[in-house]
Amino acid sequence: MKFSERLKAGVLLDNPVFMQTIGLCPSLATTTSLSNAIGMGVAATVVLVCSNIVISMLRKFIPDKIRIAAFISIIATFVTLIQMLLNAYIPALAASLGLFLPLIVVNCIILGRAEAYASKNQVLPSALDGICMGLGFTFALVLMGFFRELLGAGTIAAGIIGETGIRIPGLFENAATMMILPAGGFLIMGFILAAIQKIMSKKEDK
Amino acid sequence: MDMMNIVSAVLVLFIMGVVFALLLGIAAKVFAVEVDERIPLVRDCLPGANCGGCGFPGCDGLAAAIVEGKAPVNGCPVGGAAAAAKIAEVMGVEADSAEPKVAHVHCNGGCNAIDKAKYEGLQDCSAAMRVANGPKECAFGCMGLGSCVKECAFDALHIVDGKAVVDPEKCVACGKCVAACPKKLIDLVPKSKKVHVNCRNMDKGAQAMKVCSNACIGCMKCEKTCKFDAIHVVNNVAVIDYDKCKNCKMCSKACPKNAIEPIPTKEEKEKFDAMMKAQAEKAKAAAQAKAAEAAAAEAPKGE
Repeated sequence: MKFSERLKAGVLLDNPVFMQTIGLCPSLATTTSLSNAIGMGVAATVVLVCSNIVISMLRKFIPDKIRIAAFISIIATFVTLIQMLLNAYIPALAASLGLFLPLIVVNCIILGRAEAYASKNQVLPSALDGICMGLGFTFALVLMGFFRELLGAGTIAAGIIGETGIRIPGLFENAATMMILPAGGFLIMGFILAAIQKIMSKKEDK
Repeated sequence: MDMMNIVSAVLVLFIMGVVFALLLGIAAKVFAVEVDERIPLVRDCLPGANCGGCGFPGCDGLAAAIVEGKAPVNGCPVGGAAAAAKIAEVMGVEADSAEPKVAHVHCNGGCNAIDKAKYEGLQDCSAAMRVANGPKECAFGCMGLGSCVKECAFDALHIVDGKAVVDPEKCVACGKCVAACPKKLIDLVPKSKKVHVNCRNMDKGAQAMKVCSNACIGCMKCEKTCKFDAIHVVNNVAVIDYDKCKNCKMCSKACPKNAIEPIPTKEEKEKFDAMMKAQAEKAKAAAQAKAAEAAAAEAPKGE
């Protein structure tokens, strides 16, 4: 499979959040703003790529019966590394992601890709798979984070473009705070899923 | 299953464990972040139940908040005074700042405060405030609509005789009512202090007297009576400095308006008045004696 095809699969056709609907916990919890979403997406992607590489390297040595334990210890190692890295260099992001950073360990997407792909394929394809799936996850988070921040706080990219980001006049003063709260996460998720299903069904009709 | 399976499983996990532990060990050194050394110390003083009763995410969250000054040293409701004292030691704060507090409503108006109109709107203090500053003639007093009562999760606040009253036994000093009172009448006061000025009326004496029979009129009697410099009339209303107050209750007996808690009984009041009278006479006698002495001393000089 070519890289472009794989990318399309990861981001669109097999998007972990929107199509496989796995890894929803961080998708709902950390998408309160665009900057959080990007931070979470990138952190998860780095862990995914690293763990995919190591797992596919070790796939011949890890006995089948203890593979889950082995995978989790590999993933946990990388998550701890990322956590230390963020704490050291981007403490603000680490603080705002909070508990969800160490929770990447139990993210279904990462264990899922390890089980479904990395443990059966060679190193290079596994790394590519990690990148594409990670990008798909990041894309989903960014989409949700963008809309939740826009509707819930009335800003675009706060914390990325300057401290306050771009304030949308009219919306900033009357922001629907609910969209930043958990209920807003489910709502936005539902709307995006519905829109995607609509587009997909149209495509199938053709 | 033969032996090889078990051995290989153990070996693989062991080797992986060692390699990853080394990796993490190096990373911990490279990415080391200097955290405030007091955070782990404070953390050790806490019970470690991670119950969240303090309102922070677990004991680590509270420890970090205490060190940052965002939470009081007695923030842990489970550890109580013992934990608070230990934390106070770590933080270098005096242990007495961990003294338990209770909310107190600084108004005794209630039925003594005159109504200027009958309020029949939404039974909420903030809403009533918007209608001509509330239904009472007194612009500072409790309206008795119970916004604080609704806020209290511990059943420690009740409306008694038209004003909010705190039950100090039930109050846990969470501070919710303090924020809820639009008249800013509720404060957290040290639990050991029993003397409180129950009025916040800043009008001049004559005006205050008109609106409420319990109002502080700023007559200064309490200030003169206090031997500890603990009560002062500021903006026409007496205010107690809880750091200096020794619970002697003399000011409450001196108050002509019964605006200071505990409100003295009739006998106590009479006793106090008699005492003051005796003191005044004694002082008068002493002054006379002094004058006589001075006159006597001057007499021979004149000769």
